[in-house]
Amino acid sequence: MNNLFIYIVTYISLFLTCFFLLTYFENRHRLKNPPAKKLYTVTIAVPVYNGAKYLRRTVDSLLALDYPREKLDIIIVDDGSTDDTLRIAKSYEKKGVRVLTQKNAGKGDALNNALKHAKGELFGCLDVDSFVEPNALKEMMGYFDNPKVMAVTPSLKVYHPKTILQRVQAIEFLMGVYLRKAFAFLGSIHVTPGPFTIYRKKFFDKYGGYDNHNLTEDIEIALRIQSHHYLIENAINASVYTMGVSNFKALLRQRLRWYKGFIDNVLNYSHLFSKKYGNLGLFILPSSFLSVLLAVIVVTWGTIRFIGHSFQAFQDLRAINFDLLSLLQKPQLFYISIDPLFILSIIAIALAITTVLIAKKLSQEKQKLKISYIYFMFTYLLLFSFWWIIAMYYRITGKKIRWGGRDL
Amino acid sequence: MNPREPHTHQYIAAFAIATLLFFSGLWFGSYLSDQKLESIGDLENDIRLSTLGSELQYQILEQEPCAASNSTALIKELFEIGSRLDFMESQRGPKDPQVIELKEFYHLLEIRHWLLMRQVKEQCSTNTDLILYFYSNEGDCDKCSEQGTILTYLHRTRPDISIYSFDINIDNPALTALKELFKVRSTPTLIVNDKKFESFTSLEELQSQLS
Repeated sequence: MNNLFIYIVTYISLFLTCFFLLTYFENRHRLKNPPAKKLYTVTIAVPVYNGAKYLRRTVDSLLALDYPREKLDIIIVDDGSTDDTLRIAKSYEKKGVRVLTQKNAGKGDALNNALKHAKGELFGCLDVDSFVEPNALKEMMGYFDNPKVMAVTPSLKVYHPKTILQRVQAIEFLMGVYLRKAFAFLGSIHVTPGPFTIYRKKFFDKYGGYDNHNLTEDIEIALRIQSHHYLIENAINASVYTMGVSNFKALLRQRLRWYKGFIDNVLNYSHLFSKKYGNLGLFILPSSFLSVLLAVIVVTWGTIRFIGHSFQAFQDLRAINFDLLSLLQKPQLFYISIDPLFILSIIAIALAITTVLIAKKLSQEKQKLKISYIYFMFTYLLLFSFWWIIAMYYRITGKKIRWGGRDL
Repeated sequence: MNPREPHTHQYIAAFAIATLLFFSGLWFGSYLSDQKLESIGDLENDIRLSTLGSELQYQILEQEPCAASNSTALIKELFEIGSRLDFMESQRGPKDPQVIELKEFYHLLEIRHWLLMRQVKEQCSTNTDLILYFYSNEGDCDKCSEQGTILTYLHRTRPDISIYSFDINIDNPALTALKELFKVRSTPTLIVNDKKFESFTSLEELQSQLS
């Protein structure tokens, strides 16, 4: 692979970035959420398995929602927890929260259980490691006045990132906030995040509940909605916070599930790659796959090259008995690589930072994330490609992933 | 209006802006890179003048020709140009015509300086060590990188040694004559004080040949 490939990748990245920025610019008058003409009755399910640690904060945030209490139906589904979850859940019954219990069967099953008991015209879920801002639900309501809208997504963000991995996820999620709004403008949201996406319940009544044999039931629902030609909207200032995964192994497991789930679902809904689905079929889905493919190729090539260079550097240093100090000289400006690729990288980084800043502003995020940008820039592409390579390996070899008590 | 409907004008505008940004970046990056190459050209001209000065000094001071033999500073400058050219070659590739042109000129300067130093060495009976290094960077010389590192190390630790490196792929009559003179057929080849080493030469072996 030579520089030509890198230039092609750079050009494609620039094109995609410009396209999404233009999408924002074109739709700037639609950035504000439409005012709610009607406040629908909403059921929010909290599926929980051994989540005693966070359950109170999650449910308290729901009870603190700026929404008429009589229109809010909260159901905690205890998915066979073995810790203190059920006792904590029961303590909320006096506040009007309903509690369901079931044998451990996974999140999809718990949600379907909640759907059976749901009283609301709208239905959503909130994972136990997440909580919502008080205005979130009200901000989303106006979109449901359009009967074609079957779901509204919030802005999902990482709460108080501390570790390097959490900081990387914080920026990644902000990028997600930005992209999801752009996808909404293009009628092309293809992932509805599990936490606090609100669906019209009649969609489940008509087309079935959550697919509990799916690694990523939220992606499956989003694609099902798209395949029936309904719309998914995004309320960018409806903030939902989740805890970022703090250790590498758990994060790998999470991404393996997400990405393999994405591949499985998109292949199951491959008919969406068609001009019948407009931007989604012609541009968004193909460019998602292309971006992943290019990132994986570039990172794999870069890693192989890096290993080759490191090996050569080791050989060279061995030839001079590792007397590295004698080779060092005063740093000179001349030896800083300033070539077309360097300039193009600066442009690309500037545009990427712009997108995160836009997302931060529009989602009214107040957390300070300066250091997180630095961690993100140096690690994300590598991590992203690594997760995808492992997910592709699992998909190609047919290896199963354990999720919700099943091997999927 | 269905938001899914592709807005053709948006795709065209994104294409136009991305193309504009891309080619602006390319142009600006190339401009800065060219500026760097020009600075090497200026350095080469300085060396050319200095070498010419040394030669003239050598001819003028016929009674005391050895006064011209102190040229450590010049050797340092030559080495610096070589390092910069190596860097530019790594940036722009070994086939970049501007880099090749500068390297050709650089090799001529090196040959000219080497001839002068050899003359001084013979007539003044000095112990100056002269090393000619022939390399190739077209992927056909596995050991050239290590050999180059050893010579850089020697230059840093022993600035009194005159080291001249030549890319055997540069097509130039003077370099061809030099290769023929020492019958250089492969890389890496080292000529250490007129003694030829036709394969990779370790640091220890090289040091044993030096005065």
